[in-house]
Formats: sequence, structure tokens, C-alpha cells
Amino acid sequence: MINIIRSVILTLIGLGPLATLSIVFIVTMIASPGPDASISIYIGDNLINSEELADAGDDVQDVINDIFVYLSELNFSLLSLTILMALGWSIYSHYLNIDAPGKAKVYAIHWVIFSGIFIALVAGILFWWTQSNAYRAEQYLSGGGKTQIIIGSLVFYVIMYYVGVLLGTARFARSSVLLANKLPGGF
Amino acid sequence: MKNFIIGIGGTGAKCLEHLLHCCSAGLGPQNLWVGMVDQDEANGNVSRTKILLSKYMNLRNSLRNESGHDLAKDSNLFKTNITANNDAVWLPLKGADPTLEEVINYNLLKPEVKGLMDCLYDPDELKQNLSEGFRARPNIGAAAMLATTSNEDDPFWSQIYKAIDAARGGEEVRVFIISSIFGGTGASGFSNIARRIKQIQKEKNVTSNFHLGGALMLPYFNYEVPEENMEGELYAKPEEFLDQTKGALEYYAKLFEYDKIFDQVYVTGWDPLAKLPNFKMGGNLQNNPPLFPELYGALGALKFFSEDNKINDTQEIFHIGKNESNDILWSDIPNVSSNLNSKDSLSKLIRFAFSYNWMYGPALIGSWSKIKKYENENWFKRLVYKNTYNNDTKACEVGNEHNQEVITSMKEYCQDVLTWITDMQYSTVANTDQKMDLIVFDFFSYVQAKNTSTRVTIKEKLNAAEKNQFNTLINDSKNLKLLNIMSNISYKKINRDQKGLGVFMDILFRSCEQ
Repeated sequence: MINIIRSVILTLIGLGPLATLSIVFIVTMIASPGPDASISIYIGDNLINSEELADAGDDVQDVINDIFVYLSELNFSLLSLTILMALGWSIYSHYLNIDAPGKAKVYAIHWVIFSGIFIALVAGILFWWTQSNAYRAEQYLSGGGKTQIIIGSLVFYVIMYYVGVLLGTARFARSSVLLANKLPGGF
Repeated sequence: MKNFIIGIGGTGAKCLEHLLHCCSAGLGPQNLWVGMVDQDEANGNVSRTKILLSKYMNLRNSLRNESGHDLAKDSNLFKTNITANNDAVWLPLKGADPTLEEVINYNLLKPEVKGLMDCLYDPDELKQNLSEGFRARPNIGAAAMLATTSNEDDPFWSQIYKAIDAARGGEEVRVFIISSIFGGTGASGFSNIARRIKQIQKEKNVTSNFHLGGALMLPYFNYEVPEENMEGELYAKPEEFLDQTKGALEYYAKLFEYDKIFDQVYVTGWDPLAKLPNFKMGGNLQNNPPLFPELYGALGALKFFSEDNKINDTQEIFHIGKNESNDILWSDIPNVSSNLNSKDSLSKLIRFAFSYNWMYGPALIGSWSKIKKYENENWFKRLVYKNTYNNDTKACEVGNEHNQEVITSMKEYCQDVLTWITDMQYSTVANTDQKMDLIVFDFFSYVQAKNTSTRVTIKEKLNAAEKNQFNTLINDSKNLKLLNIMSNISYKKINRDQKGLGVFMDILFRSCEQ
């Protein structure tokens, strides 16, 4: 059990830097930064379809609060999923039946499948948020904005997940995670 | 504290075999000198113990070397520093094919003494070739042992003299003798050697710091003697064991009543007797299996050597034997002391032997080109690579000859451990109503009861299903799996004094407990 707790702590350390950025972003969105804040300007210039808004007689400031809520909820979902999946793998890696030298590599397939499921879930959430009508704010986003959100979030959360599992995978299972066996033996 | 143990005869040698395994499991004292007494030097049991003793000492020396591989002081693996003479066995009668007649110079005796000898020994006994022991004739053994001089120049006796000198110098010294009460060499040697030691103690005027203990094995096995070709032969007859024992016990009762020879005596018996399938009169074919009661003798010795064992002035006699039930369990094995749990230590050693022999040993055997496929695995990187890396050559030297020698020696020793426990469990209860449930062995070994030289064969390789039975290897509630061992070796803390392969060996040993 102590080894699992150790893995959980290391996973959280691995997730920490990017998760902190994500949390700061979510909090900022919830706090609704003013129209002059650089994040508001960036969203207005790059994510929102200003022309369509203008045709409808609205401007960016009318919808930006909806966008803030939208982005905070999206990132909260992705962050929660990433933390859960990274912790899930780190704990699960202790129960992989690696009982002999050389056997850890066999379990790389488990990691690939697990990670594939994670990426699929992230992609699914992003698709749900950006391509469906479930959220009203989605209609204000431009095509380029949606692409930025999808690619940016995917890369960001997959990196966060990878760093988390890189550090948190059970020592004896490291050969099943890409490059994890390059970590020092005593780490 | 200095400790000395003397195993007399075949039973004494077999008890030492158990004791050596107990010492490698960490149940022994810090240091121990081991000696054996047997006129039948080629005896299979004595040879087996001699080989095991040599393996123990060589492996321990290799793994407790501060400039090479070091398990470090705190490790319980091969804890006891065992020493022995170049030839660990003392032959009371030297020379080729000695007879009692020659030993006592029968032909030169005065007629009246000759007459006395004729009353005590029949002509067959006087002319019996004693190169294969005293054939369960303690009267022959006693005369032969008393006829030999036990002087300081003899390598065996010089150790006893040194022990007594050390006691005179203020050091605590404990000497322990193990033998059977019903054989030839053991029965004759036990009291005679003990009394000779006491005599030396008195001559040297040593009154304190010196303690003598002994373990007497009452009959615990028998065998069927084939009827053909036995006429006129002198040999140990199992039907005489009980009568011999009765006589010997009466003798000891009187001896102990009037003279305090021993500080502590451990007496072990067993009923029903184990039934051995093979009868051999002596020599290298007399290779009897290890039996459970002998473990009691060995544990008695270790209890005697334990620092917790406070020896008082009165002569103490402890006895142990089979419990009422016919089931022999781990709970029947007594602890050596309050902080040395026999069951935990032995089960750890057996798990270590299994996991080393089939899981980790094979991964470490061979040249670097074969081994390097594990170089990125955590256990290898942390425990082996780093500790066998040569900064001068900038290479991991685990595949080098000097390291391979240690790795293969340990594999051989692990096979000895597995053979020992399997043979003991099988042979103690075979053909009796008893049941021994210490380990499950049928998935890793074959037993051929009639084959004395290789009664137990350890499988060279195990398939995945057999390896998965590791969690049932020891009959306890721990359910320790090979996965747990792998996990443990990846996380157990390395003692900073450990070096070389000592790091891996100790961590694997410690990983075999939950």
C-alpha cells in the first residue's frame, strides 16, 4: 500500500505544473476577467466568430461571459478526467502481473490501450463541447477557434497525463510506459 | 561469544545440514565453528553435509567481503560466520581399514586383559573393519574413541582447547554436541567426547564462561533390512534401537545424577518412526534423507547459542517430539528465541530459493550480451547494474567470471534448499499415517523414493502455470505472489553498507517476506 501511495504522490507531482496552469485558467474564467484583460482580448480576437455576432446585432462583450463559463467547464472536465486517468493507471500498474524479469514490456500494450482510451475520452469531450449544440456558447465560436480549443486542449492534457504516468507508474512496470524506464533506478 | 558445534555420526551430520540452512535463513549466532565426528568418512550423509558446509562458507565469504560483494552486517542472509577445519570431519581411528583389535593392540595385551576384552567383545567385533563406522555398536565406538588421544596437536581437538582457553580468558564460550542415542558412532561419541571436554575444562581449571550443551536424538526412523547377503555382517539393526535407547537413557540418567556434564540437554523423539526405503550399511551409499526431528535437534542447538538463552547452574533437560495430531505444521516448529521466529525465517529462505532459482538467477546468468536486455528494468538498474558497474572500464561487470561464480553458486545453494525441504517433507511422512503441510512441492520437483543419490529432482524450468503456484508454496496465510516479490525488490531500501551483488541478494531475501 505504501508503494501505491508513493505512486499517487509522484503522479500528482507529475500532473502538478500543468494542472496548476489549468486550475489558474479555470479560476480566471470563473472570475470573469474584464474586457481589457489580455485573455478577454485573445478570446475575442481568436476564438469568437465576430462577424456572425455583428450580423446578429451582438458584440463580443455580450457573449464573452458565456464563453468564460463554457471554457471553465470544459477545462474542469478535462482536468478531472486527466487526473483520474493518470492516477488510475499509476494505481493499476501496481496490480499488473509483472512477476518475472523481462515481463514488464509485455504490458506496454496495456498502457497503449489505456492511454488510447484516455485520448479517445478527451477527444470525445472536446467533440461534445465544440461540435454539438449542448452548450449555447458553442455557436459563438469560430471554426479556427474550435480547432485551437481541440488541438490545444488535446496536446495540453495528453502531456499532463503522460508526465503524470511517467512519474507515477510502479517502478517494476516502467518498461511498459514510453521512456519511463530511462528514469534513474532509485527514483 | 564463541560457539562450537560438533555433529557426531550420521545423525549428527544430518542435524548439521538443517542447522546450516537455518543459519543461512538468519537463525544462527554471529559466529560458529562446526566439526563432525565420524569413523565412516565416506558416509553419504557426512559427505552431503561437508559439501553443504563448504558451499555455505564459500558463498558467505563471497557475499560478506567489504571490498567486493557485501550483504552488510544487518543482513540476515548467511548471517552466521561459520568456520571449520580444513577437514571438517574428525576420524577417531586413523589409517586404512582399522579394526578394534589393532586399535587396542589386542595381541600385545596381558592374558588377563585379553580375557576381559574377550568378555566385552566377540571375535567378530574385534576383527570388524571400522572404516565404515562402528555399525551401531557403541561398545566398539566407545573403546575406539577412548583409545585415541585427544591432544592439542590434533586439528579437531585443538579447537576445543582453544575454546576452553578463550573461556579462561573471560570470553563466553558455548559448545554443543549433537548425535543419536541409538547408533554406533553417535551413541559412543556423545558421552565420551562430552566427558573428555569436561576433563580438559577441569585440567585447565576453567570454572566459568564455558557451557556445554547437547542434543540427543532418540529413535526417529527405521528401515527394512534385506534378508539376503546379511549373514555374519555387523550393521545397525532397527529392531535393537529401542533397547539400545533404553539402556543408554538409563546410563545417562545415572551419569547426569552424579555428574553435571551438560548445562543443557535437548532430547528429541518421534512416534511413529519415519520409514526409510533404503538400507545401506555405511559408506557413500548411506545417504539418508533429512527428517523433521533432526530440525528439532538443529533448533535446539541454535536456542542454546542464542544470546537470550540464560544458562544457569542447574543441569536443564528439554524434550520435544511430535504432537498428538498426525499433521505436522509450521506451528510445530519452535522459535529460536523471542526475536528469532523460525517459521518466518525458514519460509523466507524457501521463497528466496524459489524466486532466485527460477525467476532472477536465470536472468543474471550468462554474458553481458545476454543479460543486457534487462538493463532498463528498475530492479536490475537499481540493484545490479549500479553495483557491478566498473568506473574504470565504464561497463557493467555482472557477466564477468568472478560475478558469475557468485551468481551460479547461489543458484546451486538455492537448489539445495529446495531439495532439502522437499526431501524432508516427503521422507518424514512417507509410508506412515502422518501428513506434513509445510510446503507444496509437487509442482516444482519430482520425488523418486528408491533413488538414494537423487531422491528429489528439482525441475530445471517451470511453465507459467507452475510459477503461478508460488503463492501456494508455503502453507501459510500470507499468499505472497511473485508479483509481490517483484514489487518488493523494486522498492526495498538499500542499506548503504551493501556492495556489489550483496545488494541484490539481500534485497531479494528481504523481499520474500510480507
